[in-house]
Amino acid sequence: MKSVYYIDYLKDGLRELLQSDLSVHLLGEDIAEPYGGAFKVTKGLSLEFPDRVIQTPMSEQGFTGMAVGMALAGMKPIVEIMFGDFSTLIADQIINHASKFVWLYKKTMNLVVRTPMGGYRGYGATHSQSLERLFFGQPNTLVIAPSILNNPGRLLINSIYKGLPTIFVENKLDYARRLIEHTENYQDLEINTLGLFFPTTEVKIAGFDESELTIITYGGLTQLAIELQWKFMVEEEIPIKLICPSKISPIDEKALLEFTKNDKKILILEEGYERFGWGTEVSKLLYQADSGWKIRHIGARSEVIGASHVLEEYVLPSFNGIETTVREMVGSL
Amino acid sequence: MNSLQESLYEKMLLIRKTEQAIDKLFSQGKLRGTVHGCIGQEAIATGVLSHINPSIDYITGNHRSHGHYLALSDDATSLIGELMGKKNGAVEGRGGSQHIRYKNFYTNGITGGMVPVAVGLAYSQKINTKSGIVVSFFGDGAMNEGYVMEAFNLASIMKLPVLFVLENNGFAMSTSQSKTTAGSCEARVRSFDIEYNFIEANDVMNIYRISEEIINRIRETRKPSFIEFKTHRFSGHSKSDKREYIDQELDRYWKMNDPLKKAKETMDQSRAAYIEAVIDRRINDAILAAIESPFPDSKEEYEGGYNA
Repeated sequence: MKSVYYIDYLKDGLRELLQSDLSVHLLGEDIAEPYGGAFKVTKGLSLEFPDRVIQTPMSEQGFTGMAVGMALAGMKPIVEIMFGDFSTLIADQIINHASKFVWLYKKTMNLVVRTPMGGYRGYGATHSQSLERLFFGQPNTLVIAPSILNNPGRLLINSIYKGLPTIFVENKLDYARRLIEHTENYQDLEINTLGLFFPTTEVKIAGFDESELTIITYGGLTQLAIELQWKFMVEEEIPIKLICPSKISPIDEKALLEFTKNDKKILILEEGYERFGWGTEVSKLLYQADSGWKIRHIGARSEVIGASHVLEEYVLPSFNGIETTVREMVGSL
Repeated sequence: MNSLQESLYEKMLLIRKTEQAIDKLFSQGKLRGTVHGCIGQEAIATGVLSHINPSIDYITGNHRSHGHYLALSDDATSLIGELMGKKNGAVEGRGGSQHIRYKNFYTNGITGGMVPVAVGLAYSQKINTKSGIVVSFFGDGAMNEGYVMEAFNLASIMKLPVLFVLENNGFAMSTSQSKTTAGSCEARVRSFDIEYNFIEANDVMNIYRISEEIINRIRETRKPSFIEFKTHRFSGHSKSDKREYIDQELDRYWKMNDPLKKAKETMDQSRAAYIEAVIDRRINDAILAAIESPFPDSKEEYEGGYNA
């Protein structure tokens, strides 16, 4: 059966890796049968590869450290951290061990930590965050985040062969979403990419070369940005362009500047905290390129994410809030 | 041909005299940064690592790993070069005292952090080799790090070929173990269903024999084992440490039980003097070679830039 949804593509990637490379091992809590992972990404894989899907105790620091040792010995471990919030526990092994060995000992470290980030599901303070920011800017550490614009399985394969410790950020809401080519309006979009292994994707409404506004975002908010793009097109014929990198840190500066070179207004969206955020770094890069863009940045408020629907909506970027900012920027308010 | 006894003595003496030379280089202002010396603990690295092949087995160390490095490499030049930040150093000046490598031996400066890494290395040994093992060295301070306990549990539940070596010198930096560690290390280890052994680290021949037996067993059974060494460090925790927290009575006891003293007593004294002269010359040459060596090239070391 051909894959349609993000989670299927992701699982295809894992299966392809396990089939083609005996040094690939999966480690994580509850990833084997019958549970198959908290978000079911590894469902069934332990039946096909019983020796290489390793169900671990609840010891994130311990088994991530173990994966670091496996990578140091030339293996290719892929760790699942059940919720991205728990990545605080693995920071020491990634920042102080894996990434250090790359440079100190000139070691290729084929090590990926997959972890679902993000909120909008009412899971509350410790199961809703976007903590990939902990790893931004760290030398010899990659942060990769697929969206519905990428094949997440392909990005995962590229990540494990990159040879650097990689935080692979999946968004909880994306699992159940269709990839862009399986959506209704796909034929009406013009999609361009730059970058081979971790592409940056540009999405325009077909037939509109110039856009009134460019939205830069990644991961789970990509879906929301596409919905906004359609809403403004259908309701007001205002063309909005979307730019969505899959390599979040370090930022593919060249691709970003190439895709924005003719733009005037840029809105940067992220689900993580706006203050000291990814968008702040993107803004700096754009500002230093000195092209006179008008730049706005929206992220989460720097508050604990509440469980109640109204509290969560207050903290995280909302469709309505973003729409208002877009209207301000394109002057249709 | 050296007897076993002589070669063990020679290795221990190389470690001790190198550590003493490093102290001296510091006082002369020829080194930067910090070091954690292992004077007093030499018999452990020497005895245990005699049975380890760093091209096949893996070894992890910690912040206090000069002894492990010398026991494996027998090379004071690259250690001193590394401490001077020179190109001829173990990792060409990138690492300094706490971040050194020799073949399959790796250290790092985070207390206990290499113990889970050793478990992953052991996982690889288990599925990729027939008899390769891992030896992981750590101190008593690491026994209170959470992920070290996680590592013991993982090694036991997955039945991995790893020898955990606790070099218990009684002090985590300046803090006595009696103030930090509830219960006992033995009870903790046994509770994970890991074989536990205890050795007082005063007799290198004894360490050599017992660890040989244990290491051979791990190669065979592919299951973890643990040795707690009771030892004493005559070095400060690090270079600036005056050791005010150490009872003089304890120093006196270990001066009596110094593994080097003990090994030397049973040797032909003219051979001992010869070995000492050889080591002195080797260390002198090592210092000269390190002084002569150029510094690493920053451009080369960071070529390609941020995450290229």
